[in-house]
Amino acid sequence: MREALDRDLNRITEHFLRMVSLVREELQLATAGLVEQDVESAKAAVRLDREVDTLELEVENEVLAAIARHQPVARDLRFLATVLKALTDMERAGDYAAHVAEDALALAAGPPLKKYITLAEMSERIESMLDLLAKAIAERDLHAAQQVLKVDDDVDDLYEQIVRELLTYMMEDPRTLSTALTLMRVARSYERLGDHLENIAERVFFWLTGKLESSSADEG
Amino acid sequence: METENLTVYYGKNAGVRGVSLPVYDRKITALIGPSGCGKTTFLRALNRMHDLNPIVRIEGRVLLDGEDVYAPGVDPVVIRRRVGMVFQRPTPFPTMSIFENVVAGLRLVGIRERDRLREVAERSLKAAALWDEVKDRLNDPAVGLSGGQQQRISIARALAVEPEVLLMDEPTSALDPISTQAIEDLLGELKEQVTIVIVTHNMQQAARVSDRTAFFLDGEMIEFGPTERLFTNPADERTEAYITGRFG
Repeated sequence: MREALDRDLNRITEHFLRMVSLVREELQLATAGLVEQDVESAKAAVRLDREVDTLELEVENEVLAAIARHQPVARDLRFLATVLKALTDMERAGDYAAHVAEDALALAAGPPLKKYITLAEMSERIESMLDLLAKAIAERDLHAAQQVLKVDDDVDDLYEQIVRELLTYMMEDPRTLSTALTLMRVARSYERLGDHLENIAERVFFWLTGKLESSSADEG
Repeated sequence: METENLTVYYGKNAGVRGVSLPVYDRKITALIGPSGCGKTTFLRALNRMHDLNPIVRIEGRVLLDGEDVYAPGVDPVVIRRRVGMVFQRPTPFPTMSIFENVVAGLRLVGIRERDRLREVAERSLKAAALWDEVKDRLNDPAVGLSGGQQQRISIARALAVEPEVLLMDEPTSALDPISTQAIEDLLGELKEQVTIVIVTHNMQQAARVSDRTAFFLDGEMIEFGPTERLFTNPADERTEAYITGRFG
């Protein structure tokens, strides 16, 4: 029943890619909520996160059923193991986007500390990581998976930059403390989100090559 | 099709006890269980294959479109036409050509028109995924084909009389892995047109091909449910023990 296995694998791929695109949309809405102080966008992001959670359970069940029914081996088995592990990271990525949206809701109540250029840039980089990840999975594109890791380095650099910036604000004017600390958390959410996508990219690398390349040394 | 409290006695012993199984239309139902669990006995009761065995006695009902196939006045030949059977080993008629093998069932019921027979042979062989391999040698003896092809001839012959239900008793146990995969792929296509009940020793096969699975043990049906559920989260400990290889 090779055909039946392929059908199941295709459906799982499709559903996982749907999760990727939902998280991307969630992230865009959360960032719009933050940068434009748009309460409705932020709320929509939080709602989308529930869809991500539902899809996670659905895909998990599909993976277990496929293993039980087809006893997959080699690349098929690595793919299902990859999805099973990646699901948790994807779900967490969605949670971090939701955290950004929740903080955006809190921040929308007051005036912005400044124009949030670097945070928006972080969000853009992460969106491009999601695009690369989708490409890597849909097209079995090893190069795209490797690029995800590179972009994550940019995200980490931007994070460091924001932290320095916010520290300056706080030292210069203690009245900005509360807002700046919230923004610090937002930056941290973006940075963590990127790390989860990096984990998934490493898993995709394993699926495509059979090699486990641990980067646990630089995981934060 | 469904059974209600079906019991099959061999003399005084019941080989199958009180089985009520719904067979869903145009789905594949797999019967699994260790040797001697009653799954084949049960299968053969569905189209009255035990009729010729004087020591076998049937209790309970086997309903086909709501009517009991064991009711008085029901012709077993008609039942076997509506509920076909494919056996463990390929059963080509040794003296017959490929073509004659496929249309044998139609000849039995008196169909003689050459065009009609040809048309049915082509349709059945296509449905059995064998047409392309044999279309240029329909008059060759069927016994000259490989085991997997012979089994597909048996399936084509069963399909030729347009049964509503196809019973399969270990249809791949005498075949090599490649032929087995061909038959398994075929099952997925066949269920579009016909309801299938398959007995298999190989529970991985049941997991791969079926929509619903029934687990038999010592003549009883222990558990029945959607295949995915039964193989990921069986309700009965005995089912779990069997499918995880702890006995049988």
